Amino acid sequence: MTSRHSSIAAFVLALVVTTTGVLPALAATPDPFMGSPFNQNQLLAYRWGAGAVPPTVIKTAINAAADDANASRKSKAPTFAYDGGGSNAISYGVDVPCGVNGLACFRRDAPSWFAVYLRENGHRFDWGTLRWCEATDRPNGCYDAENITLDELGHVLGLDHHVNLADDSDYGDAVVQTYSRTKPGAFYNAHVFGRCDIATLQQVYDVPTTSTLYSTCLDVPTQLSMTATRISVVAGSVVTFTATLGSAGTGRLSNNAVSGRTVVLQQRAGSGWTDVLTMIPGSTAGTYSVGLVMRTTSDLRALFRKPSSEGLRSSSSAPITVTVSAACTTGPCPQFAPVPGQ
Amino acid sequence: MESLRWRRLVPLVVVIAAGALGPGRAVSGAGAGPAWDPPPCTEADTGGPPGAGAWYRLDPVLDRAGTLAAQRLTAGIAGRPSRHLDLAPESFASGPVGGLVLAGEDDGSVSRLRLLDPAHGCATAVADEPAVIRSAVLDPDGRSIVEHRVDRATRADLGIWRRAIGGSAVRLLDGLEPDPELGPTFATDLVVAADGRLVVSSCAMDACRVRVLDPATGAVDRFRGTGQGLGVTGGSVVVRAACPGLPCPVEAIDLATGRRTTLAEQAGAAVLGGPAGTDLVYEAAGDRVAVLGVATGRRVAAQEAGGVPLRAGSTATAGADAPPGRVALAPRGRPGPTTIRAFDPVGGSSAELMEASR
Repeated sequence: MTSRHSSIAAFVLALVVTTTGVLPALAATPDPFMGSPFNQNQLLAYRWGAGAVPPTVIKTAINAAADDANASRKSKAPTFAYDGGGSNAISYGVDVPCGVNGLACFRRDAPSWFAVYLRENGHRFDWGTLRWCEATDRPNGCYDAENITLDELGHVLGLDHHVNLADDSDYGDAVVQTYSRTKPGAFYNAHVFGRCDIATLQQVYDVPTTSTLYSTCLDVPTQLSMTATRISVVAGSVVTFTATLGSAGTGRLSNNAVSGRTVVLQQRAGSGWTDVLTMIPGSTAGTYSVGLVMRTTSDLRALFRKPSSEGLRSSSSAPITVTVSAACTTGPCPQFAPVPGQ
Repeated sequence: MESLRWRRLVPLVVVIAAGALGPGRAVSGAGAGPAWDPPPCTEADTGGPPGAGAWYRLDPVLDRAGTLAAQRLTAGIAGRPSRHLDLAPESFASGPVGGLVLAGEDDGSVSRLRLLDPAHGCATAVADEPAVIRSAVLDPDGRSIVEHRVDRATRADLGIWRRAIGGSAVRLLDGLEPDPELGPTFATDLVVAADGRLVVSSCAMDACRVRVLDPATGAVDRFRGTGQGLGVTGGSVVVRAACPGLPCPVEAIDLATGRRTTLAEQAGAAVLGGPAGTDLVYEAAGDRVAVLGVATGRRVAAQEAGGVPLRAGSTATAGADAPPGRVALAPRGRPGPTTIRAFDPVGGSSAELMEASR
């Protein structure tokens, strides 16, 4: 524990109250975040707790969960890897220091260390006997250790419990849940972070590349600008338009170049705009270019439409008016200066 | 005499214990000492001095497949060799109160309660109960036991009962129906305050329903969506926030208004103790121990004290009988014969429990 935690403790407390109170969320939202983050892409090597080594089937499940976290983080969140000399411990069955309830728990002191603890198969709770699916013949009512470990690793990364809709219809949006389901409940064996887990990881740790899709659990504004190589040309000239798309969210999700998306060049038509061409990704991250043979004076702009596959908002650039004059057939013909800054 | 009796018992009990466990492995409990099959306490035992410095810890014993095979109860007196006995997988221990450890185990058909006396090496059978006694605590006066039961077949909550030592049991609180928002109840913890008030925490996977019963008036205050209750003092019940892990805030809830106040924003292990049971003693950053007066706001700065507080309550997995006004500490909350310390919440000092108990 560090004093860093205290600065956000009140915020965390409010979130905790929210997650456990009676007020349901109105729409799927990113998981709350708690405590301090680890570093971006920090490698969190773990070993088995001394005297608390899991049986082989649970080791396999834990290692699989680490792989699941790494593969599905879609962010610069830390990664997990087993290393016998690792500074973090995952323990099974012994000296579980957390509350009396729960299948598993964690301790964390980011960015220094974490620990995860899993109850032993056969542990008695008020409701009955804990059965890990992996340690049994997967009877109904068993808990999937890989799923539960992934939930704990999400906590280690700083994720607090997802705030579900009142009818739990968004349960599949997060692995990090207030209470996990047993077989055969839907998502009892989810082995990837849900979109609202990923959303928070992206907010806190950033997206790993400019082409990474933003979680659909997010609603990140974008900003789009555009330049033209000429704004006054003779008919038949080619003008190259270059748009730059970036994220306009907060924190890590501000001013990120956004590549690999579809940006179109539009031309004003009456009171609206009409697509002219799809712009081609440029050599610089977040840029999109296209050359257009100009025939008439036109207002043009770039448009990024909100994709259904990710949580970015639409945006359009400010329009650029390109003035087109008749082609010069008798000299001397005027010279057209490039747009300042080009 | 006691030590002689111990030695005579040891060889046979070791053989029995080893056979009973089969391929199992005790995965922890270093320093558990020899096996113990405590004989019934006699008048001579009970007439002796109280077992100052008594302690216990409960550790799971797993078979080779990693499945719970038994619960190893290690008990002793600080500074003296400890002994252990293996209980059924469904078992618990609490206390010590007045040198006695309350142990319960369920064999699948009946729950049995015993009071173990580590100082005299004996045990007193207290009850055989057809329902499953999930956990229980001794009243501070040692005259009665408060227990939580579930139905053997359905695991439905059968409520909280008070059992007079050597007498019958009466129900104090009804069982709770499952809460659809919080999920099934995983554990029910009982804490009895020095003034007799009872804090019952019925905890789902992450959040609890807490009831505070004043047996003098029969009044019950109810709170929902908190973490586990640590105790009650004055007009406040002290609870954890509902957190998925540690560290976690500790809050005071005003019994009259329900208003919540954060006492400690980041606490690891925590317990309510001190001379009047009004001090929150908790693990702060860096394995240090800090103190906060719940009503007064008096603070003792966090300091290295040789351990973290041992949690009170019926579901605690370790405990130690510290001198009045002191709080028992142990490294990582896991006591051993020579590792327990008695912490003074007033002055902030600590000493080995065996010294503090003399």
